[in-house]
Amino acid sequence: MFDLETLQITWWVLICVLFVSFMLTNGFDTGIGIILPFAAKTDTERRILINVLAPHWDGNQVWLVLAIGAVFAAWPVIYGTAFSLFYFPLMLTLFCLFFRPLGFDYRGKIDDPRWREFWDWGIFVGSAFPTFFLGLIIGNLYIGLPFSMDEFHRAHVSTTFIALFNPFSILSGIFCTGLFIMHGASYSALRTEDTLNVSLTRHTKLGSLIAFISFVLMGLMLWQMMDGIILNADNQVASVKAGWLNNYSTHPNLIFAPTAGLLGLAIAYLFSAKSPLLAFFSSCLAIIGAVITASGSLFPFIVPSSISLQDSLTIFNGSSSAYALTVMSWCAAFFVPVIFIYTAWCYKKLWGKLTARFIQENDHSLY
Amino acid sequence: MKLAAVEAEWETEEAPAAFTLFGLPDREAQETHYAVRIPWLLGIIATRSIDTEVKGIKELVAENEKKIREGIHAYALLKSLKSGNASDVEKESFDQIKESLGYGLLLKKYTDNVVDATEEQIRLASLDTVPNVPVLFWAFRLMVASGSWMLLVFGLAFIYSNTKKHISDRPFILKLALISLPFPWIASEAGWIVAEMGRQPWSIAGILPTNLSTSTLTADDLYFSLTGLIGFYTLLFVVEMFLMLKYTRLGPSSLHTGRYHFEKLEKPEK
Repeated sequence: MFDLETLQITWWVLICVLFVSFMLTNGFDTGIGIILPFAAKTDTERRILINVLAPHWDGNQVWLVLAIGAVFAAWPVIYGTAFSLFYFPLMLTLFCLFFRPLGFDYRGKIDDPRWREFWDWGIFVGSAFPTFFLGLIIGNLYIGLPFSMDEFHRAHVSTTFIALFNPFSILSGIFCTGLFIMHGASYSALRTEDTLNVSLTRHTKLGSLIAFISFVLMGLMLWQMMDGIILNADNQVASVKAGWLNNYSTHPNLIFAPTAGLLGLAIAYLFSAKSPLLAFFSSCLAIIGAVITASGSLFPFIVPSSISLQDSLTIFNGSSSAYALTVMSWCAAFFVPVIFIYTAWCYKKLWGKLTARFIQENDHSLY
Repeated sequence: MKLAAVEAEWETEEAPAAFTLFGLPDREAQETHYAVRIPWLLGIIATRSIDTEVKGIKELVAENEKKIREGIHAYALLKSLKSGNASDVEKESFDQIKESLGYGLLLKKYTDNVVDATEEQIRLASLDTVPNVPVLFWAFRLMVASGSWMLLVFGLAFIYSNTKKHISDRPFILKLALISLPFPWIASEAGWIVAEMGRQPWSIAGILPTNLSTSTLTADDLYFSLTGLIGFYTLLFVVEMFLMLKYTRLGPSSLHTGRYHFEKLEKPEK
């Protein structure tokens, strides 16, 4: 029905949408996890924060599963290669993520300050490290990764964990952490009051400041210091200076993405206390801008190779067949709206301010 | 092949084939020692008829050997197609035998070139298409035995719960149920072994051999993740057990809602 190239671009857009949804939803519960030990000092305050995200966090995780599932089905080679390349950070992410649900479930089970403090830091670890690794992984895509393809299109990977830490990817990790801190704080500020609320708006400011500075620094590095790769007209991959900014000269409209990102971060910083709702929406805007900037600069590449340029994986040489993509398009056309609808319904039902009194009255049924 | 391996049926028998209840399958000798056999049963279960043959392992190996030889040819044609100057005749003959390409790839384990495989290598590769018969044979029987055991326990529980005496006053069936707790887990693990080992040497039957479908991660990488997972889950198990026992001891009456057993006992009669 559609030709292969249209399908490939459609799926690239869809996967971007899924990642945006993942970061918009999972972003705030992860962010709340990061600021939990700092923004909330008393046990009741911490319970308020945990119960802000309690009904949503595992539903939010659906977007991550869906996004990664979509990568697996639409870009099998990219999935296989990336998961071998990032084996260590992804495994560590998994181990850290264990602490989150455990923290939510276990901290209330024993009424002892040391026990609760331990699991609060468990939630912190389970939120901060996966966020940082997410940024680290995306940052490394711009550096290029050591792999080559054999005759069966199988990736031969030679990577070490330490090699993944370079200035750009670390900056990207910091950016991601700042983004999620801002998002988590601005969301929970909408649903809390009193001193906790004041502390949260401070964290919105902190997060947006970190994200703003690292975003600008990353842009400068891409522009002045780093080589990027581009796809020539004859389908050859070439490495040129500031190559990652090439898409901005061929598609000038793309400039709206980083602009929206910076604008969102700035508004979130300026209006965090005056209008929490505006701060939250501009935080969403910043996330959307950041994801489009990241994927738009890379396009059409997803995983560039540093040792064998021509083996770099793009959305064209890494995708599944036209048949598979068509079948998946029909499934996605039905299921993605369904997920959107039930998620929205769930948020609507469970909206409202969480107060200390509410926590005390429902002592046994809440986290 | 999976069926023949699970039932350790080495030779193709006259239909309907006999069912081997127990025995000691021997991979080297390709026969089952001390087999206890029920006539006709396998033919009836597997083909739902009494006149269709169930192919034995030896016959399937011979068939696979033919496919491997065809696969070598398909591999050579694919190489020539990839080089970009294949004739139309070559394209057509590749289309005819491309189904066997996966069998040709089984030789990758022995020779990287595939086309220069020796007779000995072809023989070894065709023997590779037989999964581990003794393991499959026993894993399958363990699964069926666990399942039957559960059926028995449920049956007994059904009978006991319909008698006059309340089931909580019959320690025998309660204890039986308690020791039967691991059986569903054993059954599903054994079934998993049958499914996964039964499809060896394939990841996708007839298309992708397992040794070509793995990633290039090293054994050390996998030791790291496996150790991490085992360590983590062991720790979790300890914590979880501690919490579970704590709350089981406290019981629902610790909530003081007045709805549960011990609270009713404590309350004085009105």
